[in-house]
Amino acid sequence: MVKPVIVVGSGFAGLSCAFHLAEAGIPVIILEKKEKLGGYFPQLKKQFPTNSCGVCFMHPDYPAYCPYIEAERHENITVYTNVSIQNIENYQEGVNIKFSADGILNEIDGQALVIATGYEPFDISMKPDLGGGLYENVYPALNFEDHIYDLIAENKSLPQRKIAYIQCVGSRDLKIKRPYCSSFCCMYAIKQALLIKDFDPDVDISIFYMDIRSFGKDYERYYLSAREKGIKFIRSAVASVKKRPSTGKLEVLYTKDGSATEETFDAVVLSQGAVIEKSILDLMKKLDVEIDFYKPKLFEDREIKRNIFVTGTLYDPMDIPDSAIDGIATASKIISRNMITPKILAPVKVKTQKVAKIGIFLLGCDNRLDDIVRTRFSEALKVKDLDEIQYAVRENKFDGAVIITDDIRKTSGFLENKNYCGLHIDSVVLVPSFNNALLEEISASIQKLRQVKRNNHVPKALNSKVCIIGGGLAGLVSAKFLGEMGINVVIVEKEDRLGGRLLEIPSRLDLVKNYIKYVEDNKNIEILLNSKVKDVEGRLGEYILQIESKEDVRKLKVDALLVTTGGIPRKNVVVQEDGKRVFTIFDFENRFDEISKSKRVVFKQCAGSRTEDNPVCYKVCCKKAVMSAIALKNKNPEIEIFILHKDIRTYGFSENLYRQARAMGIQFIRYSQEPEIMRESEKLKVKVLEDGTNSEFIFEPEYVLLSSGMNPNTEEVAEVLGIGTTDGFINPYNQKTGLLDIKNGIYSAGLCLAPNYTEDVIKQAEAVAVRIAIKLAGRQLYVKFNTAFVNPKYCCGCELCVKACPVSARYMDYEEKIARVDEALCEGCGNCAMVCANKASQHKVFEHKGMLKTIDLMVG
Amino acid sequence: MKKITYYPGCTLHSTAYEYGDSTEAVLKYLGIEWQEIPDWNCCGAASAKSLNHKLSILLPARNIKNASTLNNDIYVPCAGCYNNMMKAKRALENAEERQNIEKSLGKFESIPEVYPLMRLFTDKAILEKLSQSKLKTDVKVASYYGCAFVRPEEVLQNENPEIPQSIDNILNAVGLETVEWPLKSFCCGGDLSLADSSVVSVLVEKIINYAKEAGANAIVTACPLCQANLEMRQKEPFPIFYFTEILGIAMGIDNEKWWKKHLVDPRDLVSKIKGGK
Repeated sequence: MVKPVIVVGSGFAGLSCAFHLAEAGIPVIILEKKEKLGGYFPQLKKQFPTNSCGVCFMHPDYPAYCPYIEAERHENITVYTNVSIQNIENYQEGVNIKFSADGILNEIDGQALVIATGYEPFDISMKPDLGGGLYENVYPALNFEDHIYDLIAENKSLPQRKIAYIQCVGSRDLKIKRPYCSSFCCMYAIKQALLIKDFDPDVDISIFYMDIRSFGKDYERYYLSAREKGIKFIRSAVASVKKRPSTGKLEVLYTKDGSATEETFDAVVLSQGAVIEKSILDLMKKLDVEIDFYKPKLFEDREIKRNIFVTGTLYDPMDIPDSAIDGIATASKIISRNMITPKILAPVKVKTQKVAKIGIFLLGCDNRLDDIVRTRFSEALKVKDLDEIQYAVRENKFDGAVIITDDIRKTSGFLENKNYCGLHIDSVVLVPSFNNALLEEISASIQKLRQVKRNNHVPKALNSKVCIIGGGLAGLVSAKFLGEMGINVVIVEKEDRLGGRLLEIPSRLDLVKNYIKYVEDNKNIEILLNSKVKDVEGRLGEYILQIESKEDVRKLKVDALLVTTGGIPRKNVVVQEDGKRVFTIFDFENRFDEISKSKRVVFKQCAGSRTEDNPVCYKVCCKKAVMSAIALKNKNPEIEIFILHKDIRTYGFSENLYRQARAMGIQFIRYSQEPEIMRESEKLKVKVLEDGTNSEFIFEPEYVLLSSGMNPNTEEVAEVLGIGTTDGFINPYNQKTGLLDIKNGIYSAGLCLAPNYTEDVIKQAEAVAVRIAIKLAGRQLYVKFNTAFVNPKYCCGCELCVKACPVSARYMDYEEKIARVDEALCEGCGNCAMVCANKASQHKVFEHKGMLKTIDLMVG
Repeated sequence: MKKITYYPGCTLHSTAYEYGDSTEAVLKYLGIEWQEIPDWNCCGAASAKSLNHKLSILLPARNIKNASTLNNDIYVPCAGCYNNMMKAKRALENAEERQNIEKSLGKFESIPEVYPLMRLFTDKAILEKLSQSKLKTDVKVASYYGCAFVRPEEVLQNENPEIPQSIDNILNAVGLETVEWPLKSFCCGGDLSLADSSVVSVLVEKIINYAKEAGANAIVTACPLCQANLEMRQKEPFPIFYFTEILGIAMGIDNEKWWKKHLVDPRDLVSKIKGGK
């Protein structure tokens, strides 16, 4: 018997961790402090950068019905709410936790504890200087989202015509002892501003900021779109917000061009940062874990104590995609320690069966209605609740049911009931009793059920083999995990060695060599060097690849594909230079000694990025430059260092590094006009126009280091696999929560997906491996009932259905010359059935024959 | 009977004579015994801290040392004096800095507590006593604290710098209504009053306009520099009172001498506060 994993907190990271553990067959216990699961996510109306809603994407098998109900329903998950934790004790083999839930004391012994308690939004009344807690038109951002969304939903115009957003409220503020950056506030402020602007373009919006930190995948474009739509970005800390007594409007005092400026606004929104709740700090103290907000990392390791893990925003402030991945990465640590090999299920013949015995139930209807129904259907049973239905189903061996109810809400518990009262979900029809043609509707429903050919949920067998394209760090990490799980892996590497780019960075050499050694030793992992994937066909569970090497071309059958082709350093073009004195930061480590002996060094950030033709932020360069500068200054305190930047994006606890660098005397110069790098006689010159003071500086550095980022290496692979890219980076299935899934059976991780830190690439690679493993465990491959099917006798191969399908579940079988349905992808929308002129494409639940009969009955 | 140590500072005996005199009258009325710090000196005001940091600590530290012989808490009516004295007190609380100070001034036996004068009247018993003399008037005033009573917050640890309440509580106790307004601790520009009056008039105008907009007939302050500055740099006559003067009116012990010291003649308003129409 596997001991359960206890997950404390059910926000995005917690649920993501819990679902993946549960899907991998580990029992999970969720402890939630509040009444409901979900954390702050359900309060957000829209998501950046897609402006989509999407609570349902929280579940790994999306589109799921709803993550909260899924959690309640999942056989491996137990949920406790209104929890307060009394005591946590960890020991060699596990963790013991005492807690009260709904006022009842409990004790659970688990194998591990995951703390995913996330954050609380900063209490703005701690900033009365910005009007927080003093004036009703100074809003906390989380509440303002509700406010604007309510107005948008009612299509009312916004009463606030001029709105100021103030960033970094409760973050990057030494005075209130919150030195760190909360990472996501810039983006949600932009999101809200865009929501307003899209709804009502006349609203005037200004965002007061220190640095705009839009560092995630495609976030820079989102930021630029906000600028294009006329949202004003003002780089200035706000000194005070005062409410004018006569008008009730807010006077915002800030510096503009070096002097105090006052501007009047109708509303001020304070972008609250993330705060760790006091009870969690107390808990950490109890666990003897030191918390220091002034360190560049809050926790040294994800496993803070033996068998106790932290994940999500508690680990480091992060947004939703990162929380999702962080949760899965934490799950991967626990799964791999369990060494559970996902069960690969044996093939079972699909049974087709007609519904034989239908029960008719009157759920909570009044007597008058009962009599009416009984005049025609004397066999109808009167029941009080769902339990009685379940009892009747068992007693009478019903395999289908028509439930008539006067209050459809009474049946809402039906979906939450794990076994649907012992019936199959597809053989139940709910009929509301306030129906003019109630009796007709009941007979129609019975007729419909008679037509249903019920399928049992039958798992499809897989031979479980995964092909990993690219043997860099991401590929190696995923291969290690999958290999450990007993899944066969084939790594296809273009070059003649594994390891990718990291082999060129001395400080990372040991890390990557460890992985290479493991992968080479694991017998489940096959390595194909000097090879390329030439052609791919098929779908999840049945991919056929053509792999070309120097010697031959061979065929390979795999179930899933993982793309980890990584990146290539961008070579920056600097005229007149041979790379001796002007080079990219990628070479920093190799030339550290030489650089540290110089007198003056200039780091140029965003070299060839965040420009009009390349609106990409490479995310890692700011922190890397800051860390490199600190290393230089430590080695040689005399050295003068200038960092030229557009915004410094040291998010999360890395903010502390930025502050440390400034304290060490490293100078940061902000530019928006491209600095010039020149060579005059033998001297190197850098000319830059400083933004804040509008003054020109000319330096004569000995070295110029360019932060130019890494380009994704996806051109070939995207073409072969037929997947889309943006700026070269692979487009995921869902940018918010399905970042690692590309399409059915194709996954991706690492630098080919988005720019990232080495640590985060490892995290992604672990997470994607978990996703592949649970997918291949068979659970996800149930033959669904609610799908389309094709009658090959009538199909003429016109491809209308292929075009009509919104989820690419329809494809052509060119050998047989007919269209087919990929049942794993089909969501049962029925579009293909509508466009099919021959009635070859039909929906299993709404077959023509059954529907025609139903209509006949209704019409009479 | 409560005993206090009193540090009037230079202004309360000179330019802000009305503040000093009204304070002493009110103390006497309430039966509070006060003793001035023996042989007190100037706190250093704005001059010392802008020229010599050591001097700016030593001057108020000497006052604290002299006060320590009296064994009572020190109450300071002037915002600048209070601010400087608190800085010296914080320095004395630091072992290393205390050693340096003692090198110049000799050993400190004890360090008394330092409070702004308002704190004396917000004591529960005294507030109760104050509420026995009630004004019957529809005059409303805006309480004004200025910067030096509340900032820097971490040094003074006095009142919330954005929403200070002590003057309001005192005035409400004697039945004078105070308006809620946002500029209670907004800078009046006092330090620049002579050096660059163009900056100051903008600030003063803003403060007075906001007070008027909020429905106040006068401003009541506790800082001599703010009082002088607000009166001197304003455009249309708008009286500025010390809170002790209002207490004096409420107790019926006000003195014609006080009003003569004002740059803006407050006598019409005084009679209104007293209940005249």
